[in-house]
Amino acid sequence: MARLAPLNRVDLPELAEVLDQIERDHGYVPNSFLTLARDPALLNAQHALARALWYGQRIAPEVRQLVAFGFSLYNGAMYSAAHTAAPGADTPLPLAALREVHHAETSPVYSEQQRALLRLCRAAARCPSEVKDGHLAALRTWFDDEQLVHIVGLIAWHAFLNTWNGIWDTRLEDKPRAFAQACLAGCGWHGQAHQ
Amino acid sequence: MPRIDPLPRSALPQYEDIFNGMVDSIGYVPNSFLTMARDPLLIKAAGALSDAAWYPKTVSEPVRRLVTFAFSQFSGVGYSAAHCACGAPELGLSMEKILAIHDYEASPVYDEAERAILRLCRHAARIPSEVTDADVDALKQHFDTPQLMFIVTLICYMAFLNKWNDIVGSKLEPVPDAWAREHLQPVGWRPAD
Repeated sequence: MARLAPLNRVDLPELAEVLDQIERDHGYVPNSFLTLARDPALLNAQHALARALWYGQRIAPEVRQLVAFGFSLYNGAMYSAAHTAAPGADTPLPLAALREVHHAETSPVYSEQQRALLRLCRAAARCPSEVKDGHLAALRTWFDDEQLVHIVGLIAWHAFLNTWNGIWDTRLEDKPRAFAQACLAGCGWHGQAHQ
Repeated sequence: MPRIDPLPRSALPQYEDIFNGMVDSIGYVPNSFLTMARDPLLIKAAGALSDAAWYPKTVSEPVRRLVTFAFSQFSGVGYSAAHCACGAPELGLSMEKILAIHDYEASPVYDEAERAILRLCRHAARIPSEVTDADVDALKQHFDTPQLMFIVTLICYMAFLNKWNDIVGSKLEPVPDAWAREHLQPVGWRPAD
């Protein structure tokens, strides 16, 4: 059960513009944003990070989704993993590419570029970190510095969101929960938290 | 060596408002933000996040420094741990508390509110998270909802910065580097290679 209640959207007229945009993006307003909305400056900052990192054009949508989902799943953050896996206009990866992330080194569904991305996500999701020079050096085969900044920004932003939702045990909404239970069971996702 | 180079501050006059706030708060511009400045939308969003998550006076200065230092230390991120501990004693977080960070359950230097904070930081730094209802309930005995939310916001802000700095390999600036070399090695802090 959530440790911090989300606010009711109808009680937040001053945030209507941001919340309307979030609804257009997701099809609903995730509970995480309705707890962040307790501090309007914090919600607006998160919205700015989303515009910069999720809706920016520096990397392909497939790269963005693989990084956000891979890091969240390796991080044990099932709320964000379900969100970033659920199919939508900006989440184009085939299900097979999501289901195999724990077999990234050997699964034939991944390209070498995707394997390098998942290696970075896996190493970044260890505590303490296991990121080495070689992880970024490998990614320079495909990405320039500006794209790497974007990829690292995505990981760092999801570290914020993963921690926020982990501490508050944010309730996962029905639509992404149903998708994750139907499609991600058996690949490391579970719905024990975020009820 | 950083894995992605920061830009020189002199090449970024458009972000002076953000940088001046940092100088006023901690005395220097962290290299982390000079690397983020490679992406204009990212540095502006990170500036907005700093405005929401670092500058408000929702909790006392010693609590702010305890939360941010402890979470970074428990996460194994020396860059941010040095940032958050450097200058903290002058703001009311004693060296005794900084040095007892890994013995918080037993050390007499902490009160119960601080122990509750440190338990949350420790459990939030685990992968996967080990935060429990009891961790949050314990904090509710000492802090009201806006304060508790701000403590969690500080932790998440550091999660963002920790991950960023750890991956890009931000070089610790001379002031916090010298301070940490002198003061933090007893808690396991080590200079970067």
